[in-house]
Amino acid sequence: MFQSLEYFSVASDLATYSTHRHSVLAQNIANADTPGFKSRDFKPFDEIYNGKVVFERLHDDHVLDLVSFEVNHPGNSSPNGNTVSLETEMIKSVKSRQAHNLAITSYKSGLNLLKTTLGR
Amino acid sequence: MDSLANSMDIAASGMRANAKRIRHISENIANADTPGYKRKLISFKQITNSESGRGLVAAGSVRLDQSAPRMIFDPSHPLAKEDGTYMGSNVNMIVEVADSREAQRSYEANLKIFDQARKMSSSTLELLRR
Repeated sequence: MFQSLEYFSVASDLATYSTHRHSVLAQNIANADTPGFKSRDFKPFDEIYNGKVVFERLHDDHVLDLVSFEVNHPGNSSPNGNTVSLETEMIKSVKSRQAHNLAITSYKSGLNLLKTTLGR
Repeated sequence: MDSLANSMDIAASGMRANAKRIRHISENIANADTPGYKRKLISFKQITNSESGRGLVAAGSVRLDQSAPRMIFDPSHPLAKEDGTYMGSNVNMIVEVADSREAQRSYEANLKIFDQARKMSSSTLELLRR
């Protein structure tokens, strides 16, 4: 029922997107000192959200439409080929956390609205 | 939820690798005056976990730094040669302290990510609460 209400599907998609992005950012930070590692990210949510369900699970953890790409930082690599900047990754992770918060809170307030409508 | 569990795994592997790095740095500092000691270097590598397909980071094998050791002048030392010098270690304190700062910063960043993932999953579970 909740998927036919666009409000809830956007909120849950944003929450899922944020957790996947957080996973990619965690990988960047863990590999901040690995030689040759290039930092990765997703495109912003509003660019890839097309009004329908964004994620299709083919098998296990493979998520369609969400492919991380290497961020192009010209001139930002250290001598061993690593392009991860800790500050940038931390700020991105905070933003992703805030987006997740926004999604969860909107979802919850939508639920509250429905409950009020039902008189609970 | 499996994506957040992945985040926590990745952050934990980063913390383990950095902890190992700090251990080797502290070994180097402790042995800075040991004659003939060569400082240990460690580099990170990515290991691909075949089940989840996510890349974790691990500390690679330990190498010895082959740069030339310091020659210390002390004729009274039992290992001193004819000209009064003996071979010290090749540990440079400033390099080790800077390295330990960097390792600490990486460790704290990984810890922060772990904490964030934990908070995100617990706030999602809050939804179930009345």
